[in-house]
Amino acid sequence: MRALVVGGTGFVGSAVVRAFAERGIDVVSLSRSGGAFAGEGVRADVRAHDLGLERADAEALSSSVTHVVSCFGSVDWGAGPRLASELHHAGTRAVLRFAESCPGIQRVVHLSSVLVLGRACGRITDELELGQAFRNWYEYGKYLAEREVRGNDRLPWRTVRVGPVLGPGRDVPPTASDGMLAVVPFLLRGYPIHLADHGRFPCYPCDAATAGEVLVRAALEPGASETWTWFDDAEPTLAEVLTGLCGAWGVVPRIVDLAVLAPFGRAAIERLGAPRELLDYADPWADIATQVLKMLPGDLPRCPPGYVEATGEALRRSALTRGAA
Amino acid sequence: MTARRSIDTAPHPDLRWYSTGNFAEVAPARWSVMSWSLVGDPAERGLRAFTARLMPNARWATGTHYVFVGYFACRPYHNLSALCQIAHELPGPDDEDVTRAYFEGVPPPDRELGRHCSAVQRLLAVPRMAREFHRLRGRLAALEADVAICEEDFTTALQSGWGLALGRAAERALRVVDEASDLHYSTSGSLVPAGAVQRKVGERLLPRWGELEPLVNRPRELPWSRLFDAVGGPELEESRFLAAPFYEAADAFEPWTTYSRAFQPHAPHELGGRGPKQEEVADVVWQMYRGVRRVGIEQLSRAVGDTMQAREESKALMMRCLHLFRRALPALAGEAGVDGDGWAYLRIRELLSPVRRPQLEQLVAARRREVDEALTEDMPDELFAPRPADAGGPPRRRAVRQERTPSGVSPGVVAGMVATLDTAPAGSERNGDGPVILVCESADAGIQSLLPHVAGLITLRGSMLSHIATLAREFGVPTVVNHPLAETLRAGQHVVLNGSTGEVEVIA
Repeated sequence: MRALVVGGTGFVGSAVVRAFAERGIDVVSLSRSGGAFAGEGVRADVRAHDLGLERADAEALSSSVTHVVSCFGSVDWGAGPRLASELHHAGTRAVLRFAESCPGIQRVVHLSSVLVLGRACGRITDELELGQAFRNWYEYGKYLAEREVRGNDRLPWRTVRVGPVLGPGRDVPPTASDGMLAVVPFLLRGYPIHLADHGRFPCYPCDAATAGEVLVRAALEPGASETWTWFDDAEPTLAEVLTGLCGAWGVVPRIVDLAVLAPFGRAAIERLGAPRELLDYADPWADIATQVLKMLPGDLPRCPPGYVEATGEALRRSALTRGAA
Repeated sequence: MTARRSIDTAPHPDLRWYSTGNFAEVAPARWSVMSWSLVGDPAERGLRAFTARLMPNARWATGTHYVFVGYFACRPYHNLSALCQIAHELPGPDDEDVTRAYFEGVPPPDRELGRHCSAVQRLLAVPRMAREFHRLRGRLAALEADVAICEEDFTTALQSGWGLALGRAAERALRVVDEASDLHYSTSGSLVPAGAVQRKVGERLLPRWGELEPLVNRPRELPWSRLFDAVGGPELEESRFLAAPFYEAADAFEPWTTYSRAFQPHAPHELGGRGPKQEEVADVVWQMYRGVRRVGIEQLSRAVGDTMQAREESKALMMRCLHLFRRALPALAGEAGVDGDGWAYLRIRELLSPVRRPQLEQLVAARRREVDEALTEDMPDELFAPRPADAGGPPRRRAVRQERTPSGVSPGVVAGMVATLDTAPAGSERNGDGPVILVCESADAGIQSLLPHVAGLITLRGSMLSHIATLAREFGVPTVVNHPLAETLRAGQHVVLNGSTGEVEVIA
């Protein structure tokens, strides 16, 4: 058994690599840097032909790999359409194509996001194509990538949807440069932020290290052509997550509900410096049925208590937010 | 350089830069005299009519010289100086917008008229342009009906063998050709200022407008995909214009066959929307934005998309009209006493005019000599015609060399194996070979049936509004045009192309 982790030096990918290594499974980490926190590291680029591998390397790899976990990609919510088409869509297609070239392939796991649901209405389990609108190109890119995987009938695939991935990170610390964490520096400055219903709606977060475990289980569990949706079963609300993140500085985020004045408030908050793309998440997110967790194997690990606060602590130690505080 | 031939048009004395532009991308390299009279003359009249409607005071666009097109040594040209002058007198576009849209990004010529146009004069064109947009759909619908009637007329006349009926059908068809040409060049001309305004508004309202523009400027309907349905099925004679070369009516005769050898698709026609399932990306874009951002740019983009669609439809109608003449010209020539391919050396008015008929055979013989000589002349893509007085003799022309600037016209990144038109792909994922990237010089409608089967496209010729660019966006095929590598790439090589940035990388 040999596992290939595409994006193995990323926030989630590094956790997946660790989880494979701790099980004693031979693991290869593909990344642009070529590094590895465990096992073998190979320099590659999902945007290049044959993942940017030399033909001999590609052939050697494809002849030995039995499991592929794809967790590359950017979570930059402010990126443009090229992120969607070139990185997420074309990159996923390249990974699938490589997996198809592996004669011993047993499972391909694709890391997706609950944000593929965009602004979809109604209670959702594992549906994808709902005619939904998208808030940004990250969501659309992840949607295209998941559609690419689910449309593949030549591979034993499994997709795993997760929400915002938090946690202190063992090998790779969290950063406040993109994704949900990008709002933290703004909140630490004491500026108010508008959230509908004061942010009392679920945002489906999870812990990175635990997510790594879940992805490895998704690779090893029998069965295929399934979509798992996994998140913290305590279902913390967005307000609780933001409060937990800012707790490391002893700051309580100023969350307001401007109701009908929200459009004006949004414009004012944007002028104060809040990342525009984050303001799109001020309304309740897609309504994911809780029973999706019961559809997963019963012995999956749960997110450890205090991982949100630990994320804030890790951020506080990073140079990026120290100045903002 | 010899004295001017009778088949050549006289170069304009003031507007002296010529460029093949879109003609070189989709039309044969040399045209017969007949085809020039069926396409070039209506193009001149159409552009004059468009200019007169938008800029009634533009007297430079009148007179006895050809202003907007030229025909030198059997090669058709656009007058780049004149088209840039239009851009100068409209609000929004500049010369670069014209060359980027239709002339492969060649450097624009210096302004030659010295005519000043105030901001007020430019603004006065705005309501006139709005009227053009408003009338577009109605004119197109009427034109479609006229073309259908012409097809019926020609079919009836050809079956009856009655020369008078054939002549009357041809006269009627010529008026329809003029209207089709007027509409085509009106839409082409309108797209440049509309695109310039859209870009300025887009850059102000939306971040990364450059990345969004090719996504939102797609026609909502796919005119080239449903043409067989519109015309009546591939088995009908009227539909065969889709498999015939664009712009050449005498393609059955040498030397025009050589120049207009259209690509004959290896794959069966699979049209009518059977292309790969494409996300309606434009809708994704609109739903991503709200308020003024969305309304402003969505309305502008829909106007641009509709105009693009009208442009393609009017081009198709022009080609349908040309195909009518392709079918009827041998019979018309027989009525005029012209044998064989002699009609290809005559202008349509010469063939239809009874006054000239006794002299036609001599005229054909003289034209053959001129054409034979003209075809030995190497004609470059760009021409500059000095004033006759400056040159001290007949007009001389010189080539202007340019480096090709690749342009991504249909977004997306794809890696795959090169196939050429001689090695037609049977599918975008051939067994073991991976995605196929088609490399060719340019394309006409014949390439359309291949597009659902290819993953990417690289062409030597082309601009943002080229025929192939429009087709590629319709089918969602990542495409780079005007790329010099298209000359050297060979079947079997592996490349990565980026339809957003225009980059092409050879892997192996």
